[in-house]
Amino acid sequence: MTDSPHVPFVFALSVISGLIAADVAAQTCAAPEHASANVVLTGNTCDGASTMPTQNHGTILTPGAERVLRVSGTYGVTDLVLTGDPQQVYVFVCSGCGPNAECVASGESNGVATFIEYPQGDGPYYVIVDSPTEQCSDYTLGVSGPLKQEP
Amino acid sequence: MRLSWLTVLVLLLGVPGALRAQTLCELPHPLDRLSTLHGSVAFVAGDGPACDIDASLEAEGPGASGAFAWYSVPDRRSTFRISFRIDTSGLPTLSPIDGTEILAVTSRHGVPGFAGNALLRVGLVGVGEPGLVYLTYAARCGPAGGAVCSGGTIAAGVTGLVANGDRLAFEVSIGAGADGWARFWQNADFTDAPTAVVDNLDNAALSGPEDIALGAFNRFSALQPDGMALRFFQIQTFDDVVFWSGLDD
Repeated sequence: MTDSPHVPFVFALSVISGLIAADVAAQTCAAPEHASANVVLTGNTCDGASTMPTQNHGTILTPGAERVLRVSGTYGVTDLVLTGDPQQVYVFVCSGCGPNAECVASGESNGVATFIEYPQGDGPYYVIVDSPTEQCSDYTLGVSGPLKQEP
Repeated sequence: MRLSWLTVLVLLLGVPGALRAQTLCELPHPLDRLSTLHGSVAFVAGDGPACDIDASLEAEGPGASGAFAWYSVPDRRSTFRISFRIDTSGLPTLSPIDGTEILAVTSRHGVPGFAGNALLRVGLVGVGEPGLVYLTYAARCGPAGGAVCSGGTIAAGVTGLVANGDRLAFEVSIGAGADGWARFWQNADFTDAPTAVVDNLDNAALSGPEDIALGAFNRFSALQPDGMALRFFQIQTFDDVVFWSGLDD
């Protein structure tokens, strides 16, 4: 997975009609949030509990608290634009949920994680906001693309 | 669908050279799967029968990067060993605050706190000279603590310089007995005295090795945003159930 040069995208999100602003409590693998595309989520990396000290097969250290969204994929490209303290907030798209799950896209604050979805029955996926530190950082995550809300 | 012998022969002869080249080496079993985030990784033919692993992280990639081979066991292992040689010639000149991790031995059962499911994490940090790096380690200490655990729950330190082509070997034993340990050998055999030992690892919190990753991941790039490329060769992996082969010497 690679970054795409969609820096202005976060600004475009702010004028999208029908944009949904959400500021809900951080969730867990067992009780994830549900979100569809074109949503902006705000939060703090100290909201909720830290149940995943690592991501992606235990390779990325993430001692901060997580926020977990469960979504399903349809074919297309989804951009996840994360803003916050530089290098203090990560976003992952993983095919499972847990410290050793497989992740297929990632990004960090002030960057874009581009998630390319595949059409053949993949999913559900988990969009996970996590932190490489135990410090508290505000963040905003803009999601745009053909994600579907999972029941 | 049934294929005639002639069809099979034609298919075999018609296999593209590139595809055949991919099968000329054996996977460094059980490391048989690859994962990438902002990087690339591949099993490639090397000098021996087992494949080498080429892993590289893209320039200016995030900390949430990874390019590694991995495997997962259905149940915890009490002991795990791995050895390999490492080619560091593809690394840029790294400063002491730039580097990447190369080996993660983890439990799938996370516990709260920093590195909460890490049995052993091994990394490389620069020393300001091309191809030369320090080897770093981190492991989770148990309640008994120990020389390298004093003052905290994480044992972390630097073992020494690693040069291009060095052989590195690691043993992790957690989940059985009173306390776990991690041992490290550099350019030495498992039968030799370890180069470094971390005792009193947390048996109570960690259930034993379950996932292994070898490659480049969790980069830290304070001053050096260039890409990082590593090759791992002469890889040998053992665990105590499936692949234990008399190495308990």
